[in-house]
Amino acid sequence: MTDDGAPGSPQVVASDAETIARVVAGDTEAFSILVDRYGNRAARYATRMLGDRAEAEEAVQDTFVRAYRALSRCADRERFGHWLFSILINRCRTAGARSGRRARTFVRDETALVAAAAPDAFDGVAWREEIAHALARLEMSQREAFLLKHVEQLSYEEMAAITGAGISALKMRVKRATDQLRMLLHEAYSA
Amino acid sequence: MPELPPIDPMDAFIADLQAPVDLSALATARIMAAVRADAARRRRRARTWQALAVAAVVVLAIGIAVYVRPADGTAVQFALPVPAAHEVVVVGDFNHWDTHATPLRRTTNGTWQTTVRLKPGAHVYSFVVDGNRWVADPAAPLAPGSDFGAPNSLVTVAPGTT
Repeated sequence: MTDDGAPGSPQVVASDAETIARVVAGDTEAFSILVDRYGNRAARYATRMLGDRAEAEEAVQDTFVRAYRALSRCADRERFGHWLFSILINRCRTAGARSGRRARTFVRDETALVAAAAPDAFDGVAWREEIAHALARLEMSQREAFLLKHVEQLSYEEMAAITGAGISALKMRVKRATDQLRMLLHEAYSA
Repeated sequence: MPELPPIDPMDAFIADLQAPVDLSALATARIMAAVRADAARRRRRARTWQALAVAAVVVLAIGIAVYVRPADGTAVQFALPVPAAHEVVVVGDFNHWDTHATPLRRTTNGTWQTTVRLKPGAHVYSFVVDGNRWVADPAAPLAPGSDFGAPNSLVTVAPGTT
């Protein structure tokens, strides 16, 4: 569970466990390796989940700082990414419950606009706004499960380990989220 | 030219969600600033605890040293067989002739006794029975000049004895 690295000459990359060992031993700056490695992915999840870029960045910052403070308690250092995500998920749950901002669960960015491949006859921006509303209308637990499954592409076993929910419950949440989104997308297309 | 299959709106939707979101440089900088500040706090806290631990060890060591240090002087036992007495004390140059400083305890056979640590050298002393009767130690030689006043005894502690 890492961000894709930039192309370049081959180089030895320190594993998560090695990096954490350096940080725990007092090399504070080594923590930036983990921020670089997981920051973008965490930002994407938080942004999709909270629907607000600033709030998402705040959640990610808080998540990394919490992770740093608890780093010595990270049981499986090779799976730091999963551990970090479990902190992030909890942080997003708290932020989501607190803010109550359900109408802005999607953030526009130009890269996504290009990749969206919206139908020719449909205005891309309007379509995306419909999608934003659709995602926002999901229950938080369903949105969380949907994003972990289809955006972060985790297995149900990984999702269960991270969220603490059972696999059956997670499958149900993903199915319900998918069904509801399909219905909402259909409505958007039909409009 | 073959016709392209229609795009599933859900696939397009997911592709949209999968588009990268970069954590801003500002956020990264804030994370590292917070981490550095936290590390500095931890180091300060660790130094404080370290100093407290050192202080505690020093205090403990001093306490132990004082507690286990052997008392100065040589233990000398004073005894006087006066079963009928109600109170016996020993007075001498070692306690500035203080009649309250060194009381003796009565043992089961009627002998009164106590132990005092004395520095090496000659010491003049006497027993005081029931507050007013000065009695020389029958087991010790009389001190010089005892013939002219209160009967004092003499005990000599050799250097290097315990």
